[in-house]
Amino acid sequence: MKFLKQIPSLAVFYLICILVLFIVAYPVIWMLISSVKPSWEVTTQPFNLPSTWTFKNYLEAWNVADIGRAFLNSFLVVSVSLIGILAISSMGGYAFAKLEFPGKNFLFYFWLLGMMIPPHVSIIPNFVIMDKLGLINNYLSLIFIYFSSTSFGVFVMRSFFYTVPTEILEAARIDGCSEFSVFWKIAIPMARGGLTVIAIFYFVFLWNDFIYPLTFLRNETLNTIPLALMTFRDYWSADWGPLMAALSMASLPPIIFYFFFQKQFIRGLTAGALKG
Amino acid sequence: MSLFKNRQTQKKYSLRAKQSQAAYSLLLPGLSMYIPFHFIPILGVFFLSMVCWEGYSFHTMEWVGLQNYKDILTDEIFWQALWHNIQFVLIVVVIQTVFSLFLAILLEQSLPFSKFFRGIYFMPTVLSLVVVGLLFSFVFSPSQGLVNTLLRMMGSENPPVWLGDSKIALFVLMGVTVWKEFGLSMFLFIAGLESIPDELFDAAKVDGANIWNVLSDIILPLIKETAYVVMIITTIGCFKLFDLVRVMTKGGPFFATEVLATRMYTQSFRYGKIGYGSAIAVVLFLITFMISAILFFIRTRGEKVEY
Repeated sequence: MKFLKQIPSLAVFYLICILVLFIVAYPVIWMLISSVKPSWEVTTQPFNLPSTWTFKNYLEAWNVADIGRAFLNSFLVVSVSLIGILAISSMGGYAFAKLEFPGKNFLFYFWLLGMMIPPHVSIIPNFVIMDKLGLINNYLSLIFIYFSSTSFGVFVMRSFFYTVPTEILEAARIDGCSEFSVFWKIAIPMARGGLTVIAIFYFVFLWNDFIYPLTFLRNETLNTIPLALMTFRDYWSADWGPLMAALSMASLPPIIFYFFFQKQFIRGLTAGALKG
Repeated sequence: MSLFKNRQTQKKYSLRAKQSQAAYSLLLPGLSMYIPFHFIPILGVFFLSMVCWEGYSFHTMEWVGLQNYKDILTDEIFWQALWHNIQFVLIVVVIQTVFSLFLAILLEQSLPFSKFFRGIYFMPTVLSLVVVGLLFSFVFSPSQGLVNTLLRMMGSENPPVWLGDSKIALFVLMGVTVWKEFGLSMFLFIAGLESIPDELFDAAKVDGANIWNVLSDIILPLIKETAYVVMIITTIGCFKLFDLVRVMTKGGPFFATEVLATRMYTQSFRYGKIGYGSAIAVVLFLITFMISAILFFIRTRGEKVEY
């Protein structure tokens, strides 16, 4: 589809694109630049480049404001949850796509129901359940919640396993492969694309999640990154340099991953948006 | 012969039993998490919406029937919050849909650097709402923020206080939402545009159609389904709005940016009105569920047309 051929319309095209580019990228670039400025310059000369480049803000954020601990906490919760989600989604997706069993359709739609309901709706009963189980201020509460939010993963993996030819699985079964090794050694490697899509979607969701940690964690030493940023803002509101350093550190993992796996990110996140 | 046949069915039968067994054991770990931590809470919220409870001991829980829903009817802040959600839907959905469709059409033309622009426009989508909220709190900070520093440099003596102004705060939140989310809608539109066969555009060119003909006769009719989907997703997003409000305004000033989710959250977790908060959650559930059902209907209908 090409209808912008003339020079004047091309100029308008680039003008618009660059304007939008500026609006989108400037706040992020500004955040990164401010994070390496001496702290007072962030407010006194917000538009200038730093007079001296310094990583003091990062050190201060990392040590004094406990972003370092939050980083490790987030890393722990996200990696454990991600592994569980990938395992549950691929096992469920495989069963629904490639195995025959009574109650298949019912169980599938029953599980899919979880996708149509936003997490906020059940946050109150979730809190009550975790409280009664004694899991408030315990990462198990977060991990269980994340393990239970697999509807989207199951849905995506099911569609990827559909593309694996049944004949190959049958052949492996005839050769004496157990059901488990058919799944693990043959089906999983052929559905790797699906695993990347959901790994990326869930990584962004877990790394950035705010409402669940906010509800389940009431102890600052347990803070994940989003919570630590909020605590930081509430106690250090005037110190913008270290705050910008903390914000940069929180955003760098997703931004760096995004620039390496752009296609997969766009695929995973647009698919995630469609779940409603 | 019959013996052989029998054995075959028997083998088939045992194979099927083996498969069911494998299937159930593959589903067990997932369902054992999904049922107690996702499904039961959804039922639980309906139950909790009919009790009066401060959330600690089950002994103090009191069944009040529909009282919490009656309270909603007279809660002025609830209606204000709902109205803010609706305003969000009306403005954000229109702006985001038009803007992202416009950019999608521009960037689908594969001119030099389009891929680069697309890539950058999508970037805010991967950031957390907490980061975005804190960053824009600074951008719009009245005394030292970027926007007001710029306005003062341009000679404005009394720049607005943005998030502190109850007339403007909601619109700032809308702007930040569009900033963060339009990239996603844009890519949904790009996917929709890519599915339009090139021959249609070639034919239009041969017939001497101008941009407006192409837009109104080819693009808009064929992109309609995608547009519905984008609009519905954005609408659901506007009702789910929580993080950004919590980070940037906490619902203030004077409830000017209170929305359903924040009202639900503060009522139940700050004031210990578990029952009342749950009733708001049920309202939120019904709204988003109805909208999701429409989305599901459109998507399945769209699939039927496709094949």
